Amino acid sequence: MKEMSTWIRDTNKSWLHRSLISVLAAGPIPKHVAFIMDGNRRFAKKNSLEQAQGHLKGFDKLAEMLDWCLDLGITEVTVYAFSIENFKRSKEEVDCLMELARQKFSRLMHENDYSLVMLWPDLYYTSIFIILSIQIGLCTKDEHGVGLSGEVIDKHGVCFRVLGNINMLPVDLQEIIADAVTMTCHNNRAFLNVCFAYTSQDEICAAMREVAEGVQLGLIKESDISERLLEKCLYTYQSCAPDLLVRTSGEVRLSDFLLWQEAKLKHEAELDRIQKEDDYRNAVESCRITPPAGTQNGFSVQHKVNTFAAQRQERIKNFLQHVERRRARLFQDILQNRCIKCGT
Amino acid sequence: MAEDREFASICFINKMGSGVFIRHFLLNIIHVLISVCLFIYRGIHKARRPLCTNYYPHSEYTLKTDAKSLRKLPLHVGIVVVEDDINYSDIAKMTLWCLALGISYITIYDHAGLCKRDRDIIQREFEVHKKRLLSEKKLDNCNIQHIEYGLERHQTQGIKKQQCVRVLSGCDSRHQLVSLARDLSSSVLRQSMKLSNIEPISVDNLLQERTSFPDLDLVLRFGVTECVMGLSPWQIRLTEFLSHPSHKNIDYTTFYHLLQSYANTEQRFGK
Repeated sequence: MKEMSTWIRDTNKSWLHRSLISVLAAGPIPKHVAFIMDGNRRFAKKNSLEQAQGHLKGFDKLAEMLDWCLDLGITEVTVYAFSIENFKRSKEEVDCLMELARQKFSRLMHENDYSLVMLWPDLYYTSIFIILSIQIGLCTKDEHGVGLSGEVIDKHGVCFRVLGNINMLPVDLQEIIADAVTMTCHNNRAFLNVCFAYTSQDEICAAMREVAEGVQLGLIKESDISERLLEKCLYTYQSCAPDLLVRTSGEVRLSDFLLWQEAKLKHEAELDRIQKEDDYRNAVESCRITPPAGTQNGFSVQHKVNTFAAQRQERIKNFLQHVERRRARLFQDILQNRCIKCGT
Repeated sequence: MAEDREFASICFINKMGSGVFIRHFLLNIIHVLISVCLFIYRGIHKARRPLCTNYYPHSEYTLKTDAKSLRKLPLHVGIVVVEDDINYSDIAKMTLWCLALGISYITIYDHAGLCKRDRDIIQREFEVHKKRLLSEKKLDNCNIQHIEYGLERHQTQGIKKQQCVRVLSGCDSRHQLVSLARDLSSSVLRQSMKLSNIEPISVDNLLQERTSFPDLDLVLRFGVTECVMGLSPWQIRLTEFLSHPSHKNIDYTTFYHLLQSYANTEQRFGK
């Protein structure tokens, strides 16, 4: 059965391609790569195709890239598929993109076989970036996408996630996404994140809302809010920061994609220090308000700091559990609503 | 069919196991080749430069005409240095060119905070270059001598400044958002703000109120590492990143070319 445009393709690669991959895989490989798939329409225009055809071709290329990533041993890939700003496009185009997503996301559940080679070396990406671009140049047309349906992606351990404000999408698409995400959520060999109805600013705002609600409910205190806590509330809470970002089409913008994650620089040790300082400040503050017996000696203050730290950790743990439950409920609700609709 | 493929993949892995040494060798050769190519490319670039009209803009007037010939001028430019040692004189020089071209906001950034520490030196170098560039009578009219430190704006004598320069370091980037999240949480707690009001637009307004700097339009990144190094995440949404290998001894022609390539970009804002 010949089948184009599945998510993960098993292509007949040329020997040159195969040997390039194996040579590359001998060196260090990034763990997490992010892609901005841009320029579909410009490509369509240049080759006098229809817009929809351009998007489809773009998707094919993406599938090919995912294949390369798996061959190279990159275990996490994030793809910017649809921005919230893209809702501003013409209605036909948005509809067309939604339809494409509908097809592809439901297709995902009937995905086929591929081999996965896991490698965990140190990081040194510049060379990979260059050689990836060489590859893109080398293998422009690869029409041998062979797909065997029936076997599911699940079997091979790919965990599929959708990042973004999915409430903005049509209900049936939400259902398809919820299906795919819940079905693959236990996999942990490779991760595929698709950003849909996503902008980074929206994501940061969502995280701010989350913590503000936590404060409102009394689960955490204002002073508990830290970089780490906000990070845990982002859509990408399960991922490490991307090591490499590739944008096609030659633009040099980030276009509201993973801004927070790319700014990650501070070392964990520094974050720990900031946390400790906060704890200490709070302890001293409270000592000033209600001086406990024997405050004068340093031991008592240290003790106080320790209790503060423990309490803070407890609060944060509770809060994160709360957030986790809410996230799980989001997809459950979508699926339940569908069941109710089917029932009536 | 599936079995066949499994067999093939096992063979593939076996083959890979035997040739570890060869593959490492090939990878190193590729690296060396790429380095040599880059070296030659840069060599040619450098050799060609003296042939170009390499002039130091000697009057404000030249800069003004140059600014007019650009299709669009960024409102806010970031000068990001991703290099280990920083030449403050060159930074000051570029800042002056930006201001003289009529760019209103400038952010100087390096991750380690060296520029922030040595902002006095930058200021001093800036004065030196200013004397060299601007004519005697223009010197007083030019209100560009102020350098802001850090994120908070210091209102001086209630005069609205036309052009601002600030120096940022790595610690300013995400912490700004954390402190904003704290303040928003407390105002939600006090019920002076609704939870649903925390939207990109309102957060954007709040941040701009605090810093009084708009989003970055253009970042000039100096250094070979392709990385933003933690520059304020909220403000780089639609920023164009243009790179140049080094800021040392940067000449006006190169600088102007970078601005020109910014002027020629087209932004679609999602459409």
